[in-house]
Amino acid sequence: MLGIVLKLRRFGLVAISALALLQASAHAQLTIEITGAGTNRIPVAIADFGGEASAARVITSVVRGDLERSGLFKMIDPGAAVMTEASAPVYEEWKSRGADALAAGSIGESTDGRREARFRLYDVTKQSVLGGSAFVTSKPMLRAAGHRIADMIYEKLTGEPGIFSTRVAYVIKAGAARYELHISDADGQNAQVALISKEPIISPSWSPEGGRLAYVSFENKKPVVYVHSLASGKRIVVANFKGSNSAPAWSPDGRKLAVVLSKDGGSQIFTVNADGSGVQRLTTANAINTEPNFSPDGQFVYFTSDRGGSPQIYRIAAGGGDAQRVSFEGSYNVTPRLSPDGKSMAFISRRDGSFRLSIMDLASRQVQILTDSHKDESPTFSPNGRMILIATEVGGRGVLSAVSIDGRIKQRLSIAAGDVREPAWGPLNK
Amino acid sequence: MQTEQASAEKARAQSLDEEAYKHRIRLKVRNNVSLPPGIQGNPKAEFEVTQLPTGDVLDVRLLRSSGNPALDAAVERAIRKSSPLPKPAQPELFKRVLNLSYRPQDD
Repeated sequence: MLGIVLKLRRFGLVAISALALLQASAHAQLTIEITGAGTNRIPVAIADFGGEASAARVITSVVRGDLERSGLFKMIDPGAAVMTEASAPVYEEWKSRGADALAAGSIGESTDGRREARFRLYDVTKQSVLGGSAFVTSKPMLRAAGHRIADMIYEKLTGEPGIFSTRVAYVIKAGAARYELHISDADGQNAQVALISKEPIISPSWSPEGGRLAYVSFENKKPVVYVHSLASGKRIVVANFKGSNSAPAWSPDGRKLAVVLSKDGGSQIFTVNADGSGVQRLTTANAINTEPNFSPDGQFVYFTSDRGGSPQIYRIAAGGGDAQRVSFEGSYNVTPRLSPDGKSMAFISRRDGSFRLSIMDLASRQVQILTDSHKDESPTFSPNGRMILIATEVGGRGVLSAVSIDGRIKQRLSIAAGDVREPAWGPLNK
Repeated sequence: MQTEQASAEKARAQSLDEEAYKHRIRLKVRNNVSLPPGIQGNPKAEFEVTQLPTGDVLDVRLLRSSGNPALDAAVERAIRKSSPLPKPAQPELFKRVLNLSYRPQDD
């Protein structure tokens, strides 16, 4: 063998260079710097799950729908073959289909005889298992199992928590004198009614642990702030003073609410314990002060005030003190809502006569307008900070729209009702 | 004199070919990168890639993390997905070990 190589070496350039390569490789490296990306969407295939066919179809369609709607994934056609979490994937085949990742699974019985949704996620390029899990489920909970699977896939592939199994609250105007407070899955499905009233319900706000909703109800012909425990349906009155009681916002520890009261005249921000005790006034300026929102670290309360002549956003230390102005661009900036990491702020800005969802990077004060709509209201962050849900108007009726914080992804929430407003995105489902 | 000129020309041609080789690897890997959301700044990840003369990727080793595990994983996926890597026009330009660094944006 060596003899042949040596002999060839005298005549054959190919053989020489091949040998030279092997020798050179030990000490020579080629350094290549790469910037940019081909796409922002990760190609992923969700195979048809095995097991009971009708249940498997529900799960796979929920998983595919969730991932696709997030705008971060390119769904690869998985073909017609059923694949369970126990099937060995033929990686070369999935690579040639263009998938970077592949999920497969099944609906089966757990060891104690309950129904179980199982799945496994594979990295096609690495030819390895990325993760997997099993969730006990039941027929009415199949969609929930699908959302949980989608959450895990999302987190494994993007590095941030998925929000498919979170919930949103919103208010539907179902008739001239019928208001309904609904709670649905984040995709708008599986809605449940928490409250029905002949009078308006506004400003729902989730407690940080997700068990309670604060809101303003006009059921007694005046605005009163309630805290509603979702599991028991029990409600307590948190603020029912003379005049108006409005705009509840939870402190990050869930113990207090910031509320807007007119009991002392004007419109001032107060804090109150979640049981209605310990009312303390926070703002003092003789102006309209409203729409409070705690920073996630609990240090500040952001709010809207017209103290400078036009509605602008300010913040004040949660223990009181002097307010600092936060918004400067434009003559009308309202409804501040801090991102979960506290680094940016969603708000509504009037531009060219339209009210548009905007986002400010708090460190640099840079503002980006995220929509071109006419009348955006009530921004609310997804708990992973990736999306902002807003109420906006299309053809005179309210619809809910989710917008990614870079403005690239916009999606309408499919809620089959006339007039939807006042969205509030719930916390991560732990 | 003539040989000096010839070798200088050869070196020039080689360096052009090497640039082209690097460019083709850069392009293939970049087009396979699907960036995860929420990248802060322009962090750099460095990998050592071992390949066969066929361009087939044998091993990908993270030398320096970008600080964002999802970004590191996305780049590693892109490198593996780019297997086999483009081959150089002149076989002697082939390097078994490549040092690939990645940043999401040009500066």
